[in-house]
Amino acid sequence: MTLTFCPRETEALTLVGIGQWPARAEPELLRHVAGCASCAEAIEVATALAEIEESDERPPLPDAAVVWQRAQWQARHDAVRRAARPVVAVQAVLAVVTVALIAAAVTWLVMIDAMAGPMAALGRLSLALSESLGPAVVAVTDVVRLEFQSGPVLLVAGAIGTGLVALGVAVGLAAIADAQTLPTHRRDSPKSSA
Amino acid sequence: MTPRETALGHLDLDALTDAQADVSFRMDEDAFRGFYDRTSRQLWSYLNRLTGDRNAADDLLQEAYYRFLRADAPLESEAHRRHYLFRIATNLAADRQRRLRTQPPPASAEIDTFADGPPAAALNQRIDVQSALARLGVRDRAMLWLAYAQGATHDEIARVVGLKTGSIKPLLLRARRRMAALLEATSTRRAR
Repeated sequence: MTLTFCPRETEALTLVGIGQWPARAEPELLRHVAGCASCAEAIEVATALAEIEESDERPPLPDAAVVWQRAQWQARHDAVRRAARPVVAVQAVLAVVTVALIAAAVTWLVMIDAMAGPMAALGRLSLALSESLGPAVVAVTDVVRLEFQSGPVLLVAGAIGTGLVALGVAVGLAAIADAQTLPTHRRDSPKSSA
Repeated sequence: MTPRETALGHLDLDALTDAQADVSFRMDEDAFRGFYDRTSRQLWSYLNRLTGDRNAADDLLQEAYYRFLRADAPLESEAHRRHYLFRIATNLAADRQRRLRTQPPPASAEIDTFADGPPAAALNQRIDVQSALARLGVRDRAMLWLAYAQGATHDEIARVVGLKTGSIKPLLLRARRRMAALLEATSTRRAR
C-alpha cells in the first residue's frame, strides 16, 4: 500500500476547515473525491476531528494575569529550591557523619564495659603466667594486652572511615538528586530554531 | 501566599526580588497577556485531545505557559513563539502518557456532561472519534489534530512534534490511515 497525499486534498480540506464541505464543493471535486481513496480518507478524518473540535465545551480558562502570577511564584519557588539544594546536601552529610560517630562511641563504650571483666582476668592470668612461666610468656601476653588497649583507637579509626564512606554516599546521592531536578528547558527547545 | 518551609528556614517567596529569584522572563506581562489570549483556547483543545482528559489539559496548559516563560530562548516571531509553546505542550502530554502507560487512556472524562446535550447520533459519533484518538499514540494524535483540526502545515507540525519536515508526510499518512481504520471499525461495531 503506497503512502501518498492526493494533490487535491487541500481543496477539500479547506472546505472542511470552514465547515462548507460538501455544500460549496465544485461538482468536479465531488466526483474526484468519490473515486479517490486518499481524499476520502482525509475528509473522513478531518470531518471527524472538526466535529469534535466544534462541539468541545471548553471550560473557562484562567485569566492571563493569574497564569502570569503563578509562573512568577513558581519561578521564585524553583529559585529558592535551587539555592537550598547545596545546604540540604551538607546537612545530610553532617547528619550521617554524626550518626556514624555516635554509633561508634556507643559501641566503644559497650565494648569497654564488656571487656572490663575479661581484661582484668587476662591481666591476672598474665601476671600469674609471667611469674610461673617466665619472660617468654610475658612477651605473648603483652601483645594480647596491646590489642585490647588499642581497641578504642581502632574503633575511632573505624568511625572516621564510616564517616568518610557516608560522606561519599551522601555527596553521590545529592549529585544524583541534583541531576534529576534540573530544569527541562533544553529538552523543550525546538531543534530547528528560526 | 504562605511562606515556604525550606532547609534555609522560613522564606517568604514574595519577599525575594525578581533579580534574587532569577525570574525575569523574556516577555513582559502585557505581551504575555496578548499571546495568552491568542493561543490559550487552541492550546487547551490541543492538550485535551492529546490527553483525553479535561483536568489534565487544564493543568498542562498552565505548566506549558510556565515553561514557555522560563525558557530563555530567542523567539523572534509570533509563529516561532507559538510553535515553541505547542512543542512544550506536546512534550508535557507525552511525559504524562509515559507515566500513565500502564493504564489505558480515558476515552473521555467529559462524555457524561453531554447526557442532556446533543442527540444520540452526534454523541455516538463523538465517542467514536474520541475512542479512536485514544487508541493512537500521543505523536499521532498531535500530528492529526494539528493537520486536520488546526490546519497546520507539515513544517509547522515538524516544529511542534520535534521531527524533520520530511518525516511528517509518511508519519501523518500512517496516522491518518490508522485513524480512518479505527473510525470505520467502531462505526461498523455500532451498526451491528
